[in-house]
Amino acid sequence: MFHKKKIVYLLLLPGLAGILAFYIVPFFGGIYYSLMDGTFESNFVGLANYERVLNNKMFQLGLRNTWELSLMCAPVIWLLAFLLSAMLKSLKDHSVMFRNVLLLPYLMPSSAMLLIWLLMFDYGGVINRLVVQLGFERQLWLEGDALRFPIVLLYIWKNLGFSVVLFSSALAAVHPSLYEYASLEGAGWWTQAFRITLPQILPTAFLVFVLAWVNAFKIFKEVYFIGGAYPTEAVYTLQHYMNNKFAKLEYQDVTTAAYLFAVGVMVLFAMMYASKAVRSPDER
Amino acid sequence: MKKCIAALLMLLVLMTGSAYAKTTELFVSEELESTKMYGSLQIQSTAKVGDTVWFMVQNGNNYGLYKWQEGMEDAVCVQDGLYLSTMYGGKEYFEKFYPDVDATYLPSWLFAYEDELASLNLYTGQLFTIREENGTLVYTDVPVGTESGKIDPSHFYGEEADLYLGDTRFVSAKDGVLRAGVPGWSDDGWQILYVYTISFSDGSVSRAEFPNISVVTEGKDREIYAMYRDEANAWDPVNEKLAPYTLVTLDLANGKMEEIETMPDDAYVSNMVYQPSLDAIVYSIGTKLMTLGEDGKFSQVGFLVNDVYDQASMIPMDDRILITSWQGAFLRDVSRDFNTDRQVTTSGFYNSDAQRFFAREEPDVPVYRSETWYDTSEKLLEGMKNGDMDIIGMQISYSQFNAVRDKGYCEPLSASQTIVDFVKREYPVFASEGMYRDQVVALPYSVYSYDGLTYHGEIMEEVGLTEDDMPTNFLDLCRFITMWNDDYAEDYPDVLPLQVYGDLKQELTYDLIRRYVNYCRAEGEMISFSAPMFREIMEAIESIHTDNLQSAPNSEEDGYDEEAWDAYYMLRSLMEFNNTIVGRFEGSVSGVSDNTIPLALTADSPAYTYVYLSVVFINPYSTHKQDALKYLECLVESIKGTRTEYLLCADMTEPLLNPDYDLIVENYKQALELTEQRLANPAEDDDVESLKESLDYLTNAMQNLESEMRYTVSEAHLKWYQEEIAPIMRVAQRTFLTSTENDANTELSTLVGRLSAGQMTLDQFIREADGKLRMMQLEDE
Repeated sequence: MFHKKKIVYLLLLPGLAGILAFYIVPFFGGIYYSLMDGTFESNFVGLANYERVLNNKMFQLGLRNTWELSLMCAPVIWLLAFLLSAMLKSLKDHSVMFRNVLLLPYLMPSSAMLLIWLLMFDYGGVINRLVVQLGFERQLWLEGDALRFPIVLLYIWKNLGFSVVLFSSALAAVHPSLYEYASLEGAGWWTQAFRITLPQILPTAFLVFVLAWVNAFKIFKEVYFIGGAYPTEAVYTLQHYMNNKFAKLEYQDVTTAAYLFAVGVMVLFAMMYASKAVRSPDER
Repeated sequence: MKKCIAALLMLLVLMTGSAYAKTTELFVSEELESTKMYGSLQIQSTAKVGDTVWFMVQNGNNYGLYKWQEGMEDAVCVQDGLYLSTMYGGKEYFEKFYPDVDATYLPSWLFAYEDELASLNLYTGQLFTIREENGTLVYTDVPVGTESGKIDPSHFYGEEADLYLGDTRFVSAKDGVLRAGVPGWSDDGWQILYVYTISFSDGSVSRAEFPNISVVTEGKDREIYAMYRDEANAWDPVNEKLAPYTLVTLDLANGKMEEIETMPDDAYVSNMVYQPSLDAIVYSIGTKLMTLGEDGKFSQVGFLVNDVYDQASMIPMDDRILITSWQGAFLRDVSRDFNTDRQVTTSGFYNSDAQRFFAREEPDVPVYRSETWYDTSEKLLEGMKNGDMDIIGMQISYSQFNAVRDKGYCEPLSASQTIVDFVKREYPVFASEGMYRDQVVALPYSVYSYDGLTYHGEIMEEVGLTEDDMPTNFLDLCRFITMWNDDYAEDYPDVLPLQVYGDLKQELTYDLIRRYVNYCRAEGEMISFSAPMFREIMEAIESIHTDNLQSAPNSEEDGYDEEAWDAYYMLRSLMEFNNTIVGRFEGSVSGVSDNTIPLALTADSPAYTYVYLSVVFINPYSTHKQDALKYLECLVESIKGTRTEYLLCADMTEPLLNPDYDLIVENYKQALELTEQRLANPAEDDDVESLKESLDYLTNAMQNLESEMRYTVSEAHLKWYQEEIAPIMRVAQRTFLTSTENDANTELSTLVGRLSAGQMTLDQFIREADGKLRMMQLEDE
């Protein structure tokens, strides 16, 4: 028994060493930088950086926008992905092609997609032509508060396919006999989806939600390409704050902001995981 | 017409030559790369004959022959005035302008032939030896095996191949065969090497062409080694670097190349030579002298004081190499035992004078230049931590120097009193940029400005305007353009009020934003685009009338139209943006009164001139701090006594004489005399009118020489600079909001584009721009 355990630990060792070297040590090492003044002399300043960053209006704005944007994107992606994968399942053999089509935007380079988006939402672009056809005035989609709409749309379009793939694999594991019984009992498509499918794949659904949410926190590249380092206030995210501080060599502020955000995210997910609903039946 | 152009070209060459002319001495030294830093003594061709090295040297427009032997402190001029560079236009011009010189022995490539110096007249095909007797040159014909005893010159001179006389990559004569590698250019603009093989026995000439070759040398068995790179396809856009060179041998018989080895990625080989003492080819890569081992790795065998670029040649001299270039001649040791722990690596700046001064102080310490481009400050910091460089140069307006300095990443320079004293002498507005916590941490060493508005006196006079009519502030400038559009444009269709190379209103908006941001900083005001002053000028820009003005071609919408741009370039401009104020000293002999002024924003606001300032500092992680400090002291020494010192230092009192003045006068006189002679005795095909114009120009220029060229910095200019310009100088800082250039990567460029295209109103523009600004300000709180 002891011998077997030893081998297991030995096999785990390279992976654990990698996690230790590339995740654990940098994570805790970064705390050191957040307590220093970020100069060549590297003077200890205690929690002064945390106090300053927490009180910084742009940090607050970035944090708020990041939460808002992620709350807009994650549930929509989750819901659409669930419905689409349930529909795809009913297509059986034909579902593969559609799933691949949905995955295409995820595989496309962001810069190429952004170019398409810029052409579509430009002042003289396709969307505005449609708007004019419908009798409305043109909108400046790429400036001001309106910029949120194309960005959220772009993000959903790009990331939906990945969530559909995750959902699809979980759906494949649901035993068909459950649906047969339900059908015999007279349950319709919606009832089956939410009464049978969803409870059966709850752990995966939670994972999809977590991934969608976490990925939505990183909604920066899209905004940066369209709006630059200082876009309109409505889409200024936490990563703008960190990116701009990084460029100004304010590394201590970057690490501080990162830890503040990480703590927030960890607390949130700890609370979610504590809820028994999202655990698999074995863990409950 | 052809003659007319040639005559003008001749004058141009004289003018150019005169501006750089220096005394005729050439310095060969173990310590110094060159004593002439203005490119005036350009070595065109070199040959070693026995113990003597002969140089064909261009001094301004004058060519001379120099010689040097081991033990001589300097090379000496054996004969000056061999010919003028004007003869580049052809032999007939040479004869016309230098009737007293014997054109029979017009030397071109120099080479050793049977223990004598020899050359070839490319225009007659005459081979001859050159011998010095009692201080004069004696020429002796070397007949070749043709009926005339000369080589057919049509191979070198004619419609197909006009050769620059002394410009060779290598020349050698052995066993009755002369070989010369001569550079040329393909129709696509890439370099071609022509290798001439000339037989003395039958006078035959063959020429082989090798494209994409610029560096070449002859090996010990006369095999020809060269560096090849397909320049048209050399750039790798993915990795953003050039393809490596390939070492090849040239097969002259069939014009083919044989590949030997691909060079390492980072090897920009500027020259190479076979060195018998090492039995290896020595390459110059930056300031390093390297050999390539059998394992394909470089090893260093010596170093140079300055970079040697094209036009250089290297001659083996026992266990040393003599390098000659347009910069001068210099000897360097080469040894397989080369090793030094001490060195200085610079990044982001280069100053050849400082390199020379440093070499004099520390002859055994090489100075290398880092070729790595650090496009972001975090990459720079990473490079600093890795010790990739000891000295870093940055231009404040374009870089994050202030962040680097304020984070303490500049080594204090207080250990050097020379540097501290110099910085203290600088205008406070410059000196303060190099200070951190009351210590000097960086040396501001170069400054210039970009934001003057120039009125062209000649055009002003032509259209009947005076300086009093011209705008002195941005608001008036907008009104002036409208006035010109309404009242003058029809009468003067070939004159623009202000020529810009884009949409006029858009360009004015960019310029205004840049000036306004700097203005607010200068005044210590919070920047706000909703301020009445900014709005007022923006409204003035919007209301400019441009319907009668010719606009610049729109390359974005219509594609690049060369014809349209050529037509646009031909227009004259009454005013011109972005001219220098700082550094606007003597130098013009045109006699035309152009005036450049700093432009205020409104009639009520003070005018400033915003300057680019460059600084150098020492990497605190450097392991060669002492040598780096010494190097900066040498940089200070190199600035002293130059115009830059006048620009930087507040305590200058004496005017600065132009050391080239006498030679400039002499050259102008010479040009005037030649033109007068030619006018008095014109040839049949001379354009007399053109000659008269040239005469008028030269006469006029002669009258202005004293006032314009006597001083590099005159008393009047010094007074003007100190009293009028220095108080209003401010250092332009880089911001995310707007760079100091009107490039497309600024935060506001998209907004400005939308405003110009009518996609947003001025109110929307100001609101959005202010939003960006507010974010920046809040972020830094």
